[in-house]
Amino acid sequence: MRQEDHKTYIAPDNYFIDFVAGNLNFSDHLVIETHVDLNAKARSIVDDLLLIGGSLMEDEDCPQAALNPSCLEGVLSKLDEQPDINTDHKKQSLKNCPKSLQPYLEDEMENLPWKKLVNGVYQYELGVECAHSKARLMMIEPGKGAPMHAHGGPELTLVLNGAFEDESDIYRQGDLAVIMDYHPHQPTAYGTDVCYCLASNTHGIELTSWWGKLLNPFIKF
Amino acid sequence: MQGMSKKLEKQSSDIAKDDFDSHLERVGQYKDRKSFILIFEYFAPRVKSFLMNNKIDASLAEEITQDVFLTLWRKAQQYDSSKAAASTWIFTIARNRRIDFIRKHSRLSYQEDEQLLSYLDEEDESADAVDFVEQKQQRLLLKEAFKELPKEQSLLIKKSFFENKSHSEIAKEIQLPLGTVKSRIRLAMNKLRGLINDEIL
Repeated sequence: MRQEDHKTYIAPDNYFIDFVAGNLNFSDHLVIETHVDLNAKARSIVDDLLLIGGSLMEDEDCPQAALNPSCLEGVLSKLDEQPDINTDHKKQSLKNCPKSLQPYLEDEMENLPWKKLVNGVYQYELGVECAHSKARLMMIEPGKGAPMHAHGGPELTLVLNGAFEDESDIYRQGDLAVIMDYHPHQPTAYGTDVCYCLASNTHGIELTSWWGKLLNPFIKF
Repeated sequence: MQGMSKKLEKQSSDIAKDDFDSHLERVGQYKDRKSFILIFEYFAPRVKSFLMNNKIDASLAEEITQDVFLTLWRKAQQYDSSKAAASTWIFTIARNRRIDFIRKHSRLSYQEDEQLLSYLDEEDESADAVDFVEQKQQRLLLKEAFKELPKEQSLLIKKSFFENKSHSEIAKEIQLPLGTVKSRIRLAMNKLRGLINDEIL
């Protein structure tokens, strides 16, 4: 089966609209940005929305805010200036890492200081968080899976490499799974490769199996 | 011969005022300030309004607007009207700047620069195969399709883009369940995609 024959999973439209508008929290934003990097279908939706945004901006009835009279002169006076070259813009070139994630990673994914969660499942926090959301990378070894768990808010999981299976759906590179609130699930790596994912969730997670419940106080996602 | 060079050297005054694509191309090719000013005068008040929200006040929005147009000036050399509308570029730069700003002021390390704009610049092999005319036509169709959407559907997209409201905030404001808001958006987007495919196939 060729790659493109697989079913692909893209984010629901409201995520794309909020992404283009800039209304997503930071960790969801990063996940959708990476989704767009990896998935041609997602990218074409975003391209369409940018076009719609532009044409709404060009429309007669687009809201306008009056400018100070000096605004244009201010711009014109700077046109010939050389732009500041942003020296602290890290030029990274990680081979197996989407562009949008490069600024957050010090090393290739396989070399990151992963923290073990349960047998065969590891995580690495990206340091992208705000009040209620957090982004992290997950690494799942072949055949291994996360314990049955539920989320206190929707969770986005994007496959960066490899594949995982959740409730008989198979998610491959560039696919995005959206797990809604309080829906217990148990994603498992699919195939022979290590599965790397980028996940964002809004309110932490809760293990739901009996032994998972015992672990809850010790596992911090 | 003289006539010919005159024909080639089209002045910005020869271009319709609202043909922003051609004006932006002139900015890119000739650093044409007249064309730039035309674009600025039309779009800058819209960009400023777009940027203003609870985190960005009017004077800050104006500063960022200036920055948006400086970026437009500097990037214009890469602009190709057969690939994108000028308004798409302006909207994209403004949107990136707004996100950039909010991030920088949330003490988060973040470097987006012109991420989404670079998508527009990239040489897309599949896009190259498509006729330029067809691309332009597709753009027009999408715009038309958007206009034909029921108001309740297009309003949601407008509110998301221009009032910086998330879907749950919009749902609260128009007193509809979040599920209804989401399904209206889905309908709108499906319709847009459907309309385009129908026309093109």
